[in-house]
Amino acid sequence: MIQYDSFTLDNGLRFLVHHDRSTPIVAMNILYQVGAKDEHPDKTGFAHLFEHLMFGGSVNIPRYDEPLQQAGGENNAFTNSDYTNYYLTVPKQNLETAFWLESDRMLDLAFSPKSLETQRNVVIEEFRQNYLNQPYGDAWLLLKPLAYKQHPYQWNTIGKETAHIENATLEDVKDFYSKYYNPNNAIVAIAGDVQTGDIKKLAEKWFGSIKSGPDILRTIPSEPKQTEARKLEVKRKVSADSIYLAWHSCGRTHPDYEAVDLVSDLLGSGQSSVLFKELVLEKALFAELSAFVTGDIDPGLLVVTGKVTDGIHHAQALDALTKTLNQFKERPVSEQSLRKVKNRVITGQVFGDISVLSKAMKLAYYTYLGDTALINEQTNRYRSVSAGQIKQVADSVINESNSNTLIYLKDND
Amino acid sequence: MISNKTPNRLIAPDVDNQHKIALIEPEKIVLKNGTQLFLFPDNSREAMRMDMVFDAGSAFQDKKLAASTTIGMLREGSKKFTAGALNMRIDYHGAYLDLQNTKDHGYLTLYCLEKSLPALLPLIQDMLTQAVFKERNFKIYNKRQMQEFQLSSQKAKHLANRLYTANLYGAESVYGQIACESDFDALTTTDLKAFYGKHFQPANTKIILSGPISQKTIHQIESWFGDIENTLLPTDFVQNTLFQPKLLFKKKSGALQSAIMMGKPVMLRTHKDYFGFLVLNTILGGYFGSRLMANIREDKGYTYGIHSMVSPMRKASGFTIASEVGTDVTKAALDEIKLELLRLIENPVKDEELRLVKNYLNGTYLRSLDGAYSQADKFRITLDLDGRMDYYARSLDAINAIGATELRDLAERYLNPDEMLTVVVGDKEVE
Repeated sequence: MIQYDSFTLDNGLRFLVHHDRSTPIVAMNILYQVGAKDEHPDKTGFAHLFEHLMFGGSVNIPRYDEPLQQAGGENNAFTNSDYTNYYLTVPKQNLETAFWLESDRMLDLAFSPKSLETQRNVVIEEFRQNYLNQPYGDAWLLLKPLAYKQHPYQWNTIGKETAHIENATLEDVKDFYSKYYNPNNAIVAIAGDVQTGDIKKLAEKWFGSIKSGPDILRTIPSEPKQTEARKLEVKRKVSADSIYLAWHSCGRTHPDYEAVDLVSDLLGSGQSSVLFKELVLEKALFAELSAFVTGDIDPGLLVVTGKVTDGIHHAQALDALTKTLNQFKERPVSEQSLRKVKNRVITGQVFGDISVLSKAMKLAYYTYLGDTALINEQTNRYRSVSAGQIKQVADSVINESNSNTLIYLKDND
Repeated sequence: MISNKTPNRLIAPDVDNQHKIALIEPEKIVLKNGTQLFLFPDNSREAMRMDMVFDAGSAFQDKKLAASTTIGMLREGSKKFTAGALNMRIDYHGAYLDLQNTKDHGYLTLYCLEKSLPALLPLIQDMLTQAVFKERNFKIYNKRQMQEFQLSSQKAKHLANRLYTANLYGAESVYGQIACESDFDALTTTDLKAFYGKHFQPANTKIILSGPISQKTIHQIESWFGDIENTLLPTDFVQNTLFQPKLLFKKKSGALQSAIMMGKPVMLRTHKDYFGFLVLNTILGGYFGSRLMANIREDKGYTYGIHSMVSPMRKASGFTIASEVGTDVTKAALDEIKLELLRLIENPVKDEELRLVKNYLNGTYLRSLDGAYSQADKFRITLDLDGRMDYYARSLDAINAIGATELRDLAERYLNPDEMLTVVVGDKEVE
């Protein structure tokens, strides 16, 4: 159980506070409700590029990192399709430094052309390092546009291509900032040995005078129901054939979400999971196999990915995989297996709730989902999933007409 | 006191970096057979972590891959439990089992809820005493490992790391040995059984528990692990480092980035210069605001990241700078790295930067020693020394005491670029 207090400033900035007296470290997490799905299709990768620019100095503070390190703190950030998340930890007596730094970059950025120029290069190197110069690195660049035809989930957070990043202008940066980086579009969560009264004072002092921005009207196209199987085959210089299967599933707050997540665990999480046991350990058709859900806020994907064993034809492997998936759908899931995947989820949560940082992140995230209280209902929602529900979601999600198959083959030339 | 006045945003709030780190010196219990058990209790938690540390790293192996395959295959079946039964039970109890090795050690880590531990200890005990290394399971496991090796062979970073390791310690030495594809073919279950028999022994084993620890739990550990017969004395190995500074290039056609590694062997953890060198390394490339990051990423945009690190082991330590940089700027990046090394040798670090790095390191220690689980994790390192957490207090004292003159002396002694090994893997050769 994660207890928390919450309050909202007049400018719309929401705060969540969790007390944990066991640690000298305080975590602060700021979530901005903007992600890659808010990007223009011709200017992708921008939300993530912008995240880099948030470290390039703000109106009163030339460098973000230095004063934080001076205070013994550490920070990082990530961007995904749905949101941009900044987080830091700092010794509790130096928490005010975090308020000073974070409020200044919410107040106004420095917008230097040099910073834009450098970060464009850094992000292009990141693109190369993680996506282009990496075996299988472009698999998701291929899979997402195969699965999504309308919804902006069709592009990855890094962007469609490096040219989009090269073309970003200072004008784009300023527009993006004034539209999304406002107190009414952000959520702050703080966890540690703190008092809510003190946090309120600090919040008023540092964030209270920042003006709120205009309401954001989102017109994100929803993805039409897929009616026909899609398949893409590519050849690349890799060491093994690889298969990616993706089916459209539900959004993060949908009542079926936990059931679909458990389906992915039953299939491919842990060495006793159905696919791993049968196709890796017993039949040795795959060298690696895993299943997971993307966990996006709008309807996301259930994904199975595997690397085919050297010497096995990819068609044979895919055939066996399809067969095993069909068997899984036909046979009712045993009570023991269902209990197993639930136990794994619960242990994962118990370990996750040890660190103040992970608790602060979760508080901000569940608030963004629309209801902070969900943070304490998750375990029960997983517990209450029935075998019948597993069967029902497996039936509705895992089927041919809803499938997207990427066959990623090694090029022998 | 928090003032309610309009804040002056041009002035940083006061900071206080005098941290009191409450180090836990663990209670030590020696089991009947000599296995040492260390306790890091936190009875406010449900989460239980059990670390087992074996003197069973790759430095002990007579045949390449024997160490990693032996520990990796512990979950592939024992006398009482088939692989399927082991996996099902571990997963059923919501537990996570992690099997790994380094050059010095083998590590088994079990994460579970306190209530599941009694059901899991018998499995762990059987894995450690009666693993079977079935031929069929080995073939599948070995092939999977080989495929993973082939995949990593396509990454410039991994190719660079292999070449670098072999030349840093000497390809014929225990720390410098590098596997190749034929080593997978040469490995047999006989090798694994031999390694298992020799290195998974009570005399070579330490157990660290963190989380809720009751007397009952201690008794269970004693009864499952204290009666294992000890048939051998502790093992050891010799590392003969053979190092020559040089520039090595390996072609990787079509690579968009070059993987760069640069460094040399340095002092052991017990050497008087060690803690000071940690500070020097932090300044150079050990944190986000480091000189290498500020110059090569934040100023030039040549890379997504560049870091330097110290890797201390039992018998040798390595110092390494590593990055992946755009192909066209490889030479420029190497020049900038050298420039940064020379700057540390030629000019003393300014007070402000030194203060910042010390504050940062104090915060890092506070963070990494936060709570029983983190301290148990950090404790593993001290097992090769005197097994006391006090090591971290001494380390921090030394860090806080060091001055700019000493740092420049250390830079002169250890960071001369002409004395370093440089490895580049990429599309374009550099001179």
